[in-house]
Amino acid sequence: MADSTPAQKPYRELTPEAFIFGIGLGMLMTAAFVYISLKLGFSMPGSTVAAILGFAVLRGVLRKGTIVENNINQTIASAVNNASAGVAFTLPALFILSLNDPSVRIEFIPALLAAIGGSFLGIIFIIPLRKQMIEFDRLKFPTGIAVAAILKAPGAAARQAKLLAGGFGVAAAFHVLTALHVIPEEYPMGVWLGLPAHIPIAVGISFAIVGAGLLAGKGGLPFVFGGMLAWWVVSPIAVGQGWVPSPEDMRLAGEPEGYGAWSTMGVVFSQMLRPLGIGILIGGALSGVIASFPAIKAAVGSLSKAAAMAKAGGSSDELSPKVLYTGIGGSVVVLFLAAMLSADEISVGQSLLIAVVGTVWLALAGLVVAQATGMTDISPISGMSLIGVTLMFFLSGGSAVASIVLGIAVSIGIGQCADMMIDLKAGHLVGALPRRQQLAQLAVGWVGVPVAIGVVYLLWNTEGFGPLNPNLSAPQGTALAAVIGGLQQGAAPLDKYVAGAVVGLGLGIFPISGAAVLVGLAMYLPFYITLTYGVGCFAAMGLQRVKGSRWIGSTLVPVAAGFIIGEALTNLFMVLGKLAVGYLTVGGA
Amino acid sequence: MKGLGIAILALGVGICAAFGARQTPEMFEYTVIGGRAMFLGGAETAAKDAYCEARAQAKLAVADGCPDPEAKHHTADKDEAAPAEPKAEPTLESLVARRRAELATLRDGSEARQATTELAALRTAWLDAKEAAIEPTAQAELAKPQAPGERLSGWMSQSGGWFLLGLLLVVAGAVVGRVAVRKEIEAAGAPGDAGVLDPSQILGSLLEEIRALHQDMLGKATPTSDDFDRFKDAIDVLLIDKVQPLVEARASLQHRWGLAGFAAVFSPFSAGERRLNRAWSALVDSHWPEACASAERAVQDLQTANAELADLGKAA
Repeated sequence: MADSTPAQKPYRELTPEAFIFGIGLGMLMTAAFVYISLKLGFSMPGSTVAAILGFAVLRGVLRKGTIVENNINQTIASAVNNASAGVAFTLPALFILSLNDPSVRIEFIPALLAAIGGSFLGIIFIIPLRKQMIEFDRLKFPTGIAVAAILKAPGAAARQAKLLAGGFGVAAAFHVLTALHVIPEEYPMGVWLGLPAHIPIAVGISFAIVGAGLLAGKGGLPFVFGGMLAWWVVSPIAVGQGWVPSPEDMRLAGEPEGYGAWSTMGVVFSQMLRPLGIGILIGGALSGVIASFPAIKAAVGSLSKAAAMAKAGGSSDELSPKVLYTGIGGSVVVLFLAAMLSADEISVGQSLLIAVVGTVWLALAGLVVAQATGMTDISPISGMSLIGVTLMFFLSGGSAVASIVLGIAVSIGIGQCADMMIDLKAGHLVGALPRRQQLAQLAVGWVGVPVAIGVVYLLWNTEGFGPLNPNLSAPQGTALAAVIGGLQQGAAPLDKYVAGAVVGLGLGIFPISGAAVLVGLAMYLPFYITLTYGVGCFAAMGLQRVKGSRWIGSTLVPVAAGFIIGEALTNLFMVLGKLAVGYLTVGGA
Repeated sequence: MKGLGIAILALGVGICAAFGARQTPEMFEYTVIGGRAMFLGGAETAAKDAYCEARAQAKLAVADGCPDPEAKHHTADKDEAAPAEPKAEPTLESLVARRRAELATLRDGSEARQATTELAALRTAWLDAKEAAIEPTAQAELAKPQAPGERLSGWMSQSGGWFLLGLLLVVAGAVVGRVAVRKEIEAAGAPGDAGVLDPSQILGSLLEEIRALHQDMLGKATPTSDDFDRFKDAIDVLLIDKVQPLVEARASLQHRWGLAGFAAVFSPFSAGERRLNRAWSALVDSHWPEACASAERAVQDLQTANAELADLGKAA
């Protein structure tokens, strides 16, 4: 640490260096992660990468970066990068559908408008919930804790730095071993015990998931309970009662190869549990809004008070509600224009309805995703986007184009909700001013959109993706195109969504905050993820009892943060390495 | 009693989830049709793969739709993928008849006379699997899922009764749970009793310690690097020993003070905590003026929190 002379310049936070580096890094990550999403079907959050690189450049190279300045850098970079997942998971579906349906027209402007509108709405809607989620509910946001651990590394005690590095090393090592298939990633203990496929007991080697469970502790138990309910109660009942077609029902001679996997994942999971889980998420979100409405109202009120105080010469940590109301109004107009321009058959009335309903759905889904991310570090963005696309499909009278274009808005918007909350959590832990983070995110949230859309257009016109190119199979876009195809045939599991929503509303009465969201999320995910998370929860609970809270804060938290960072970064470098090797090999041939 | 509430809730959620997941008879039939087509189609594909592999090993000419082992990977062109001209909607009979005719052509074709008995057997197995799959795959292509509205009404008439029973148990379990939690808090004792967290005592002591810390900082005109470390460590201790216990007790505080009262106290308390974190960061970054200013704001925020808590006490 420096010697006795205090610095005279203002404390660096919102600086040009943080903006320029954050935007540049964000754009680079956006382009890379769009490509990875089209190739592998998953994207990566940018916060941990940006925090580490910001540390290296702002503090190491420029030798003047502060902790809160690096926080702004990672806020900006992740806000820009957020467009990569939202665009890569939805827009490719439009291109894929156009192959078999000449009426599907791909228009750049509506997609751009929808994505930008969704981005602003997502950030704006979640801002008033900062107090509720971060200060009152104290949701963990494990990635936010991990990012804060990186940001605070310069001041951490040597012991904590070693624990962070140790956790990083363990997670990285195991991730490499599983990626290279030296050890299996999933351990199907149920199979070893002779249990049928529809009663799974499996854990995965994922220290990121274990780390999230360690940080959640007892609070994550409803998530584990939801998984047990789904796979140890509902699944055996469904199969035992004959609700899942047997080989005899299908008039097959004996049990064919693959029947276990089909009945479990293809029927029980995909047709029963997953849509039910989505319904419970929606019901849980509605009950959460009802329960916390007084607090949300108070939060919006406090924004007005803070704005009045700022006007009277004081300072405010919060953005003025005028900014929020203006932003919401403007974004709804942008969504309206996107809907109008997306397809000729969409009327003015339909466009208005789509814009308003899409906005309301984005707000509710953003709440669900932010809560789920806060409690488990897992974001059900694809499930919530799927509902958004389904809603838009019916409101637009069956227009695939309009539903996907507005689906882009929902997907990006809810991604921004989760990202903003993660960043604000990290900010709370390092003492950042929320207003500055929110302003930074609002200023740059749209920047990644033209980059992401541009990369998709470029790849389509050069290499092709989806059915045109098995090297860029665009699995998420292909899946969404299949869903649209199903919707065009009338396949929407409305019964599951409604049943789940009613269960979610009922669960909201129970005095465990977020229980419905956790149970719904557990049903929505494969069981080995839930059980692996449960290992972390139970370990944390046991350690708390034996070692006490102080030990948890000083030892377990840095280790768990190291797990999350280690796996995320190792995954990123391995994927980039594979892509580089593949590119060089093809280029060499 | 809380355990009883959880047990009733769990039973209710289990019943709701099980019957909520149940498909209508029409969707069950749709799944049967799709499953049968998938497995029989898969058997046909496996049989064809075995036959084509045998042909390739025997170095026979490419035929019967087997892939050319010498051909490079083909990336489809967008024009190739363009749809054919729209035709009239086929019926099951027309689809099946067309495919049976194609099959008959294959059975009678020149490749029927194979070089070896083994190849002939593999070809026959493939064509038999293809025949078995004709009707199921045609049925699957033409099948349509039940419309969403009909699914909902069908599900309600089939499973609604059990679902409602489960829902009643969910509500009952939730209510029992809420009553149990309220009684737990009341039984725990008043703040200040043995073993019960006294938020006013903790908040008061936190305010005093931060105030003392701030005064100490103001007294240092030229702080040394030891001073930076010392104040940083002092903030760490405050965060763990005073802030964290209040954070962990928030659920019981919320029950005790109500949502509005809790928000009135916890909002400035959290702001003060954030200012302490900012002071810590500023100390690590060697920015003494910011560290002092943040500590001062933390004092102000905690004063507000203490005042709100005192008002709550008066109102009670």
